[in-house]
Amino acid sequence: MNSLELLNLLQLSDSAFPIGSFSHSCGLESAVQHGLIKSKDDLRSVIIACLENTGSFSLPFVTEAYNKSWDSAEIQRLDNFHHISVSNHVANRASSKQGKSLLGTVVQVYQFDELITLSKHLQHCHYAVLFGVVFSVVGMDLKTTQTAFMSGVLRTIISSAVRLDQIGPIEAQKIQLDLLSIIPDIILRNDNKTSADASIKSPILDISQNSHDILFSKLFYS
Amino acid sequence: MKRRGEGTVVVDAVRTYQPRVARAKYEKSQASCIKHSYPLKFLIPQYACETNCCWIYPITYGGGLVEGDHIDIAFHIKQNCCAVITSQESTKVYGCEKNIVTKQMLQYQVDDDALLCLLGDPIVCFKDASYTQSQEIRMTAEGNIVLLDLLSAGRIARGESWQLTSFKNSLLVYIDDQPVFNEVSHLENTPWLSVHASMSEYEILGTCIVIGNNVKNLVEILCKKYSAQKKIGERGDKRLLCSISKLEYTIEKKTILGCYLRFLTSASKAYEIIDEIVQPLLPIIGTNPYHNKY
Repeated sequence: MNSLELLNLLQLSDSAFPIGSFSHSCGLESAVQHGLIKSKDDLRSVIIACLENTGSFSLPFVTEAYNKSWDSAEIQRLDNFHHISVSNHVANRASSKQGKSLLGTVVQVYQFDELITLSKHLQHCHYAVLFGVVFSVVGMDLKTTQTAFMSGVLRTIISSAVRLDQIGPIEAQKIQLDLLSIIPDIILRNDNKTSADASIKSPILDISQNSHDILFSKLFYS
Repeated sequence: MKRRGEGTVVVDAVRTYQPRVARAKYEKSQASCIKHSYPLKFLIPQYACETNCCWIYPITYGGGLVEGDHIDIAFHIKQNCCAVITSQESTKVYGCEKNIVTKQMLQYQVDDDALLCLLGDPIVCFKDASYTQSQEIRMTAEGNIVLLDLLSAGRIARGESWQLTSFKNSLLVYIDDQPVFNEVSHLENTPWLSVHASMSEYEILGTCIVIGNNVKNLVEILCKKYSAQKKIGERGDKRLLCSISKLEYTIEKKTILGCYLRFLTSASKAYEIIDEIVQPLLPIIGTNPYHNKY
């Protein structure tokens, strides 16, 4: 990777890139309110469960969208398939919101013609699908795309843990550093999967996230 | 020895010269075609209930599925019919030693104004079991389904708790050949998280899907109960995780409603939820398939 590519990657994966991931907790807020997190170890297992689910469910969509980014009919099919595969309405809404923001921002910032055409055809704009497409069009390699995707999810859930007052900012960075090391293994295990193999590994976090909307008070959107 | 059982059941309305009872939504339903091969078999009692519903019990010789068993069943519920597919007891999946997966592939076809209720007992995966189940439902826009899928932690009384090797469950629903619902869960140990470590507090994982305009009263009851906003200061209960999402599909300008309910809790709490699902169906299906089982 040359320095221009690295700078490009840093810009795209920066938390200042306006896709709104700061308003999502990946189900952590509901898990906290359901009493699932009583210790630092509980928090660690919930974050691992979130990463495992991301790897087994979302990553196959990222990979397939990356490989088929030139084929708009296939991307539409993937987007629709992602939509029917997430009947948890909270997760579905979070994915579609972030995907729309990602596409909208990239279209305005980079002005790629293929993305402008695609934005007119996609019905739901799911985040994992759009992430694969955008990184492919921008010219990143597949490994970088997958790693950046996983790292973005880890950053989002870690930063929400700080804002939910579960850990302090320094402790958060320690956990993040520690968990960085499991990402390559998760990618490796899910590398050959396509959207047809996408599955949820740990239903606990998904079920608790699904009841996010009925919480009396909440800080996050999902 | 690997056993492969295949079967087909077609449920059709009984043609009689008596006028159709005006009150009954579904016609007198009975199996018009039954095919099966060892180790699979069907029990279809003639008098399972007082209503017009047909009750089907798929069973396997030996009372469970052993390593390498492969069961393939296709059910077809024809127009205006009502069927309950259930079990006499839990489906046991024995441990696997040679790393051969035990499989069940179930297909259901539901025609116009028909109702299919899948109300089986939990799947019990023993220690080291490796099980794959796929359920595919093809319904028409006028069809109706109530699917309840239960997985237990294992032989709870023996202290077994989520010690299975792999459990893969996929559920796919088509309405008029258009895929509308897909859920795949795969419980297995990863280097960073074991199934036991993450699930040990719970005894039953349940998924319930209700779709169709004839079962909208059940959808309303479940949505009202489980999507009620929490009150000020009220926290969720760790021992009872339960969530619901409304389903809404538009197929050729027709709107079809439904709901998707999931729960993860103790066996006794799970049966309270199951009761809430079954009670509104009793006028149609006649009796409670979970009666006296817990």
